[in-house]
Amino acid sequence: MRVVAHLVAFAAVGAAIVYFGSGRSLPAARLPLAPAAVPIRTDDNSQLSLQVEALQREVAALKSVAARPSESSTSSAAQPPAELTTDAERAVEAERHRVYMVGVAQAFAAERVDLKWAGYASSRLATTLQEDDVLRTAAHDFECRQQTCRLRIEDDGSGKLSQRLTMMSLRLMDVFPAATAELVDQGNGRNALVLYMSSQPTPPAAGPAK
Amino acid sequence: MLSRTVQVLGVVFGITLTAAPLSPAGATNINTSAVACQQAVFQAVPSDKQNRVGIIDSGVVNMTNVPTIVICPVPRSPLAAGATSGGFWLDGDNLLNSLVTVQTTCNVASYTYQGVLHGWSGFTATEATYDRFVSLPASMLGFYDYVSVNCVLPPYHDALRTYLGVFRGVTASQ
Repeated sequence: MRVVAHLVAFAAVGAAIVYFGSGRSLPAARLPLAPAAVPIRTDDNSQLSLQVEALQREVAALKSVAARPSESSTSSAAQPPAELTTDAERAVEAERHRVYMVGVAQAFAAERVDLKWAGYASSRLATTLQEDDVLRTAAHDFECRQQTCRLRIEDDGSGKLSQRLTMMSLRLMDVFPAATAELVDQGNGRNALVLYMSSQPTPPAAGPAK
Repeated sequence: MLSRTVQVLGVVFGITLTAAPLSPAGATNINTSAVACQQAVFQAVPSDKQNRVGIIDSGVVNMTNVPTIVICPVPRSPLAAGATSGGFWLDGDNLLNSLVTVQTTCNVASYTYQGVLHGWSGFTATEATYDRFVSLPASMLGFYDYVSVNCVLPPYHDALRTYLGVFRGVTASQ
């Protein structure tokens, strides 16, 4: 009797798991079998400190936005205006991407140099930059290592740079199928776009690599 | 003993039922046909202003005898909480033949709401029918970020009197 009861119990639990575990994944057929972006193993301490730093900056960003006076806040202090929320959310998203790019930069710094790949990638990149009149004239420099090239290129704020870089990427797809980018203040009143262009098919889901 | 087993079963079912609504929701697919694509500007050859692309029932094709870039919108839903990346499926055809090499190069690029490039991920497809998955990390797919697809379509072939590639569309799977 005990055995039968246990068997019934296991069968019921199994049925419950199968029932609640299936039939909920709407587009199962279109989902990849394995996640394309596999989280990179990181050192526990450095990851924790990165997370703490990220949280601190997010809180700081929220505080700075919340402290900013606005017309709506003076007229209706009890109800936060929608604009404030949007600004705060955008600030948090920008900070999240900045922290992500810190990890990407650290991973690049840790890369060894593969002279053969670096030479080939540098040559292709230089040629492609020269072929575009906007990219050619924008001040830029780049460095290639094992599987990543870092390109820093000045952004005049006209909006042309991002367009041209996206088009450039199509010509360099065989060398750099993926890239991550960030706009940085150079401290001289000008901005630059810093790109980490990779020979790997997918940008890292998180950084830095161990 | 049996009543104890029933009690345990009840607890298990209770936990299962309670936890079910808290489990991550299934991904949402948003499909966009490539008939929404448009040719990119600043393609000087043969002409900046020439209407290079054609729309057919199943997507967009290149009607000129040089490779042409098209740009397509990518509607999508916000990433689920805790997601580390978002995925996109790109579909199309290369009309392979014995006369010329045919290939289609595409990328998925994301931009901030201010138009600053976040990055891209892409591929070059040489197969007759492609159904490629690309993903971008979550930090490139913020709530306010924009995503577009850029593809270089193979040219129209004068001798064969046909276009050599159809880009059918993109599915945001997030």
